[in-house]
Amino acid sequence: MLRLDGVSKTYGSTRAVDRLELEVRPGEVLGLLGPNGAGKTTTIRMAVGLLRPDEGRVTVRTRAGDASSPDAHQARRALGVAPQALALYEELTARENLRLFGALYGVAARQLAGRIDELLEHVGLADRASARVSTFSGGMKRRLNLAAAIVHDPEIVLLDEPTAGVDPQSRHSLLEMVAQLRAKGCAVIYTTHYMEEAQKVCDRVAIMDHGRLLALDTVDALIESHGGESIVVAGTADGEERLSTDQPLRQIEALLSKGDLRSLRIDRPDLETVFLNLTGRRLRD
Amino acid sequence: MRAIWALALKDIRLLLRDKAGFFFTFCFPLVYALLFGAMFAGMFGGSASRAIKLALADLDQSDASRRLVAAFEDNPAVEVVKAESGDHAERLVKDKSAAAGVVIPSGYSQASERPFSGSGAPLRLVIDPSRAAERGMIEGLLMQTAYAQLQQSFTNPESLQRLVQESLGEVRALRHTTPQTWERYLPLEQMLAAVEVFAASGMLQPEGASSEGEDAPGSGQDGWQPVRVTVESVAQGASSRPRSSWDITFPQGILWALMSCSFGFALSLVIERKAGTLTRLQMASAPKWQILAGKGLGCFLVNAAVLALLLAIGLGLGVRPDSMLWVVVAAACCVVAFVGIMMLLAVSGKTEASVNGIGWSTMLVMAMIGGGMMPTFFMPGWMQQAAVVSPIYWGIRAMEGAIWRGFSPVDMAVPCMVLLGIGIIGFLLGSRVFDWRGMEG
Ligand SMILES: Nc1ncnc2c1ncn2[C@@H]1O[C@H](COP(=O)(O)OP(=O)(O)O)[C@@H](O)[C@H]1O
Ligand SMILES: [Mg+2]
Repeated sequence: MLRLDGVSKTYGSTRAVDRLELEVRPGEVLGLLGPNGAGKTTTIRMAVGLLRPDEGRVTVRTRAGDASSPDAHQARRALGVAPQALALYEELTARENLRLFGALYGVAARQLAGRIDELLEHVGLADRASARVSTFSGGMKRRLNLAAAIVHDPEIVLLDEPTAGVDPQSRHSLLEMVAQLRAKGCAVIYTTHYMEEAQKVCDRVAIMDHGRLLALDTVDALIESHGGESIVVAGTADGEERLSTDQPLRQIEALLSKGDLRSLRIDRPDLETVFLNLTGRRLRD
Repeated sequence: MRAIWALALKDIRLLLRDKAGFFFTFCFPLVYALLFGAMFAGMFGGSASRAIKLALADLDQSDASRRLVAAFEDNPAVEVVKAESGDHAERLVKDKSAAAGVVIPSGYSQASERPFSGSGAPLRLVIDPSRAAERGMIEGLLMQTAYAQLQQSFTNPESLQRLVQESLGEVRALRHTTPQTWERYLPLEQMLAAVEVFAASGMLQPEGASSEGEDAPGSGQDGWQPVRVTVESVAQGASSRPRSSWDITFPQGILWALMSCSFGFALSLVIERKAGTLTRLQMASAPKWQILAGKGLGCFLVNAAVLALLLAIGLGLGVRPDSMLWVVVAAACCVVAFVGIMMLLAVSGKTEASVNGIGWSTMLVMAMIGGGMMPTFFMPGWMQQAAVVSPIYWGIRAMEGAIWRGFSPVDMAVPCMVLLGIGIIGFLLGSRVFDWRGMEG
């Protein structure tokens, strides 16, 4: 379990993270959704102990039960991070990268080789295991980046924009892997500025902007409370009619009873709408 | 320890896979050593310098002594360095400006005019006791020169006649000493008597006389020598001569290799910081000291490998170190020093470009003043003094001390301690100053 209590970080005059409260529990994927510059990466860096918060506290509680700050030894071993900036050795092979990080995390040499094979298989890089990372596509690098983050089988996994700049297939396989981590009981923090991903993979989503947490709940609950009304779009002989409503089924019944309906669509609010309603801006300006 | 090994191994792999890094670390220094070694081949070693440097102090200033000096000067195996006094000759030997010194004391001419009387003309030979081979050679040379002088006297009928008569008189005077002594000189007396007759006959030809002249004093009387050499020992200090140009260019090449290699490692630290891999290593639960220790170990191992490779090639080309043990010690000190320098280079700039610019240009200046390009002994005096600020100077000095300068352990201790100091202080200082913050925000 990872917990942030009123954590803040200021760079010069930029309040990168402002009194953030977060908690991610085992078996849960917590999304950090926000536009570029919202403070997601800064949050991750503080969460893993790379950056000391100006105020507030980060606590890591391992399955073994001990709670500590993230830079404590046992906490480091419990955390796995895939940084946003691809931090891989380009001139080493996929296997050599994993072997290095495995050794640093203290994975026993006997288990490491097997674990690496399993991971490479898992991320679909088994056939490129001995190729240098510099020859990989963006998607392959992202998959290896994730594999390197979990080579030591961590309890808490932090993925900072794991799908940035990847092809649809790699994106699909990355999301699949996140689901598997959840199934294994890992606590996962997943940052993204793609609301479709957050909607698809996250149990709860924290919406961030300008370093502040605007809302935190399940996707449905967020839409319920901040999405506003659904829009029923009805096509009639007179053209298209858009009807805003919080009870779309009622609305449709009424339309049907009038007859003369050529097409019917419900535009449900999504996280994009939630963000728009919360900030007055779109997620991707 | 496993983590540090893993980190070092990673760095070695990366260096071997980086074509430019590999070239500058392994190929360039070798090319440098070979190219400049070949270029300067005539300058050190070679036929000219195989001549023995002899400090000659002529205190007699007579015709006879000048003839002896001229004889040495004419000898291609000897390079004469004029000395003002006996002390001066000793100093020249001490600081290895000369392999040996010969002092012609006043009174030499009188003695040399009566070669068969007394125990020969006195000469003082000043020599380093550790140079046994040269000592034998120089003593032989002195005898040879003295005999040649004697021979010249024989080729001049007048002087020969005078010489023989005087000598005969002196030898005959020995008749009144002990019978044993006289017995030893009897053959000489008989021979001189024969020569006297021969010289008086006026048949003497310069060419014909030469063989007789050689025979006369060399005919096996062990009681007699034309000159009497007293040997004095002077232990030599530093600054011996390189035996070949490889002796100069291999230490230089080694220092270039260490520079390139350390530079590559320093740059890799800065690049890794920018790329975020340093951050990731930290996240992979490697403490900072471990990351730097891994870098240091990688740098140490590659430096040691390059050094061993260059030394092996140098040995193959005929570099003959005075002491292999000291070569190993000096090499280890150099390698340690450059691990420290690596850390200092890594903090010489914030970005790859600035480390490239600042670090490398500092290194070049250090190499230049430290004798990495032109040996310091070609430099004007003030520059030689300034060279001590350069780690390259100390590196070259340690290597040269072990290879050809014939340093004593005390002589070696100075550059070795300086190098170890640079290594340790440089590493600690660099580690403290190193800015871990990545550039990726
Ligand atoms: N090292 C840094 N120095 C100065 N400002 C920074 C630094 N890192 C991040 N920031 C600023 O903090 C804010 C949040 O950045 P970041 O956490 O990277 O956002 P996100 O990951 O959500 O895109 C931005 O305004 C960014 O410019
Ligand atoms: Mg970010």
